[in-house]
Amino acid sequence: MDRLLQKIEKELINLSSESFSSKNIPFKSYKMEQTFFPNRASSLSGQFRWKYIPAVLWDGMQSFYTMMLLGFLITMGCLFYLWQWMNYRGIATDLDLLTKQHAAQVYQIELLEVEIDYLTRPKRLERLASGLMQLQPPEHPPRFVSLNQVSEIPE
Amino acid sequence: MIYSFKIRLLTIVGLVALSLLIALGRSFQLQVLEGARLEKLAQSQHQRTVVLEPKRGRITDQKGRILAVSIPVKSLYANPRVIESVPETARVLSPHLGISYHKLKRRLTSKRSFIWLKRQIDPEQAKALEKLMPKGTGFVEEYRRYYPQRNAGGQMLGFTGIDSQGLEGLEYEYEPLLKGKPQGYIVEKEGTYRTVPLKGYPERPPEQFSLQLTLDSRIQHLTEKHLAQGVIEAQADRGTAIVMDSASGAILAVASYPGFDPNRYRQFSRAHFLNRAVTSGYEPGSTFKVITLSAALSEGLVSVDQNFDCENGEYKVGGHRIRDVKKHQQLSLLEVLKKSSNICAAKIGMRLTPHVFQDYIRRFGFGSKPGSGLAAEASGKLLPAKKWTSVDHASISFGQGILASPLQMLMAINVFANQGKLITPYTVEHAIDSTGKKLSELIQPGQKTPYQFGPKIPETVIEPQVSDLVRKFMISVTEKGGTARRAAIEGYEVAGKTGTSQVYDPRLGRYSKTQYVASFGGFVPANDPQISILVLIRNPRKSYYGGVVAAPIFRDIAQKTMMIQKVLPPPNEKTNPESIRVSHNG
Repeated sequence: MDRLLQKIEKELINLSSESFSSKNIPFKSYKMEQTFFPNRASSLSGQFRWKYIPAVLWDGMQSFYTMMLLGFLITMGCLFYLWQWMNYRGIATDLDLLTKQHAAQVYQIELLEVEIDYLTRPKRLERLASGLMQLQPPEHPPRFVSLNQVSEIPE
Repeated sequence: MIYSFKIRLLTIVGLVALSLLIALGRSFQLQVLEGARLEKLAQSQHQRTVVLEPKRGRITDQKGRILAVSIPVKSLYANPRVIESVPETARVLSPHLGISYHKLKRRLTSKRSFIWLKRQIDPEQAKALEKLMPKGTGFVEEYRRYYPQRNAGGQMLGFTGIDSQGLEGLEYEYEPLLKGKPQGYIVEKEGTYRTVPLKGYPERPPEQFSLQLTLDSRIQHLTEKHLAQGVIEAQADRGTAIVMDSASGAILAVASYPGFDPNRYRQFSRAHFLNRAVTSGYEPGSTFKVITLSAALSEGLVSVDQNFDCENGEYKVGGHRIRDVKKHQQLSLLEVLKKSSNICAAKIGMRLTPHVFQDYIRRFGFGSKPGSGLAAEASGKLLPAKKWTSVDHASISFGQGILASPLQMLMAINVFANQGKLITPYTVEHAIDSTGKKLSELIQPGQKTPYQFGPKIPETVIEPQVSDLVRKFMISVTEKGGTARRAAIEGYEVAGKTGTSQVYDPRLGRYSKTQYVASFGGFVPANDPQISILVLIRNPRKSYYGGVVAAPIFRDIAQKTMMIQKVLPPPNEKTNPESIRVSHNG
């Protein structure tokens, strides 16, 4: 039994050493890059390489504080978006309601306007004036020959 | 052991990868391949487009009084497939809708999913129905056209059909403007059945235009009133009257008797809908003599001090006899118009060559549409000059053998009120858009010529001196010894001309001896014309002379119109004119 266990342990050690050797590592971080190529010429050590970008991001993801900051920022962003969206929906609903109220008021005003014009149409007024007040439309326009005559008209 | 571990690991990784691949494939299918269709489907479930149907524009008079307006009303519909009990629904609705039980029952047994039960219900009726509302019935909001002034200007305004489409008059003529364009915006449906506008929410109401007319409803009323009285007194078939602002050409009133109420147009025959001021032609008769005289004066073929032999009341031209109402021997140019001699007018007209005479007739606006903006304008009928016989030439000189609309005749008479300038009449002062902006010109998509509103540029037809001379002759017509003493108004000088024309009877193939058109056209005050009026009475039976039948109607309309327009009588010589004249705009 002990022998079997020792064998498994050995196999696992071999497996891990094989799978995590520099050749087999699927992805290298920036730090690892620096570690595995220590003999790079000093003139090339500060050289920008595209492959460093994911490497730096990977390193960042390893950092708890960076991830926490990122998570915080994303949460805040989401909350802000939600707040704005709720705000927009609230205003849109209010606007819709106000538009409906406005339309109802306009309708009422229009009805009143039509009613006024219907009730004050000349034909009706003339009929009412003659029927209720015994008033007749004047047959002649004012016969002023001159305004001077106004003072001359006897009482 | 290690081998099997690797196999298991690879299997799990493979399965995870496969499931991811399937998920990826499915999302590709949903997002890319069927994305557009599914997006539409999703939108239809939680979004909907609200269409704002434009309300048909208003028509108002020059003071803003409403002549035509659209008011939202309810229309009742039914879905016969959903109705639980057809007999019960018919029994409940029948008394409220005024439709018989059996008729309603028959309608409700339709296999369709939507039928109208009654459209454009009165508000009170709709309120009563709201309380009942059997299952399978509902209301739809529609617009109904109302004409608050009722009969006033009915023929000019026209009316709309059940779907708010213009059918007659200005409603038809300006249909594209009044109807407007529908406008839509998208809303999102919430769980609480509320809607939230998402995009395309209109910043302003849908585009539609209202029309402000030159018409004055007070003048329109008095014109209709006096015309109706005149037609009844003369025992005539019908009558037409037009009142126009002399200087601008703004039409203040257009009346045709008998009229109709556009609110109840179905109760009237089609003959009532015609705006005879522009659609019907008539032979103007003696009113046309002013054109003959002015043409001859302009060409220098006659002079003021010349006398004409009136042949003692009978004159033969091309085998036909021309007669005067009264026998005259010698008449001066002024007297030819004052006494309205057909023989002398024919002699004067025949001094002009047919082409020159016709050119003058055309210049006065005959033979072409006036362009007033009123619907269904007639251009009249003018015989080509080369086809004129001597009889045609003579009869056209005194207004027979030519067909003109009353508006064309008024336009021609108005030339003498404007020192020889032809003023094009107009009906629409301006269009008003949904923001309240007043527009004097408007072009619609797909339209070649723009709508133009307001006054037009006048054209000179005759020299001012000739115009003034004829105007003086026209004043004499309403003075002592003239044919239109009844058109005279105390305190004012009136210029005008009577007309009594025979009506051509197509059945007899000649002019009728019993049917006449009596007319009077003129303007007032003669020395500073403010209002031009034409009155035309068709087939009067009591008396058929224009001076007896039409002139008193002219007087009544002119008198009242001047009171409304605040045109006071001209001052006498002793007073300062400025101290008494009141502008008609004041």
